[in-house]
Amino acid sequence: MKKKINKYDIGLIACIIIINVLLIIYGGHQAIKTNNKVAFIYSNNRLVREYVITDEVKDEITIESETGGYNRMRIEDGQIWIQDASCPDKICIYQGKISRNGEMIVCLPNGLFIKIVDESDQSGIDFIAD
Amino acid sequence: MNRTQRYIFLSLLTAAALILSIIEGMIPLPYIAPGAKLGLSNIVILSVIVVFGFKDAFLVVVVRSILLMLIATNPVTFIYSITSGIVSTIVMSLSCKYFKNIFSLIGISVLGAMAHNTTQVTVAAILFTTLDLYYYLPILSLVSIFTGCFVGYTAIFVTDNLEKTLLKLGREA
Repeated sequence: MKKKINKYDIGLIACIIIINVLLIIYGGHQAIKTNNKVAFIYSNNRLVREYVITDEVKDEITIESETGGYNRMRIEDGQIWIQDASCPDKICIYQGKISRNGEMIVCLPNGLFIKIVDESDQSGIDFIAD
Repeated sequence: MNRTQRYIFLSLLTAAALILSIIEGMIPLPYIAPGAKLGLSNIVILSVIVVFGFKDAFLVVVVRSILLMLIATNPVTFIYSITSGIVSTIVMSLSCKYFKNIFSLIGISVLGAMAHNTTQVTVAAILFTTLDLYYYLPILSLVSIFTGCFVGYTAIFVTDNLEKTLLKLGREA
């Protein structure tokens, strides 16, 4: 077993970094800001709500999960975010406000999944669905 | 080293992995992506793979995941931790066996971290029945390179010490 970092390790790391940076740049093109957005809210694999998000819509919703947890989310100024949740790690809250096509909020403990889809840009959706 | 000594060592290492997992949960980290963690317990698991072999590492991973679920987390997190733990152990064992003349422990640990991430995202994609979650995979992979390097570098010191201790034990017996 080799004990020190060698050129092969550095090559492996460099390859992985390059591939992932390219993937991130490529994925970034999918998220373009537009005005015809729909937020799909899934809980435990079922579509529970569907919202057309514009700057005028203001709402506050609480989604309860099958396991007894909850997520309280708010829609305002064309953005959607989680205000409060029962999960211990609060990662869904830290994911912040989402407003662009392809952005999403995931809460693993409660099985909640919110994604924004741009209805005017069907090509982007087809790419994701493939 | 007889069987009892082997089991005592493995249980001590399992306890160490468990404690590292629990402490890791207490360290506040800046939010990067869902599921991004330090993976400190991989230090122990990688060392067990190198010193004891795949079968014992597999046992340590399974026992650690079950105990972690009972102590600190919930069954949902358990599904993620056990599947990704098992897959990354298999990947790290295979690369220890076949690439040990090419990569150091740092490279092997990075490969294991990549396998861990990919499995975690795949399990999440299956549970949520959506492929959109693969969007997070490049970000998670970039983070895992840094944590993987750190884990590998630490594992080099741990295996060194562990092998010395076991040799000393063998001489005394």
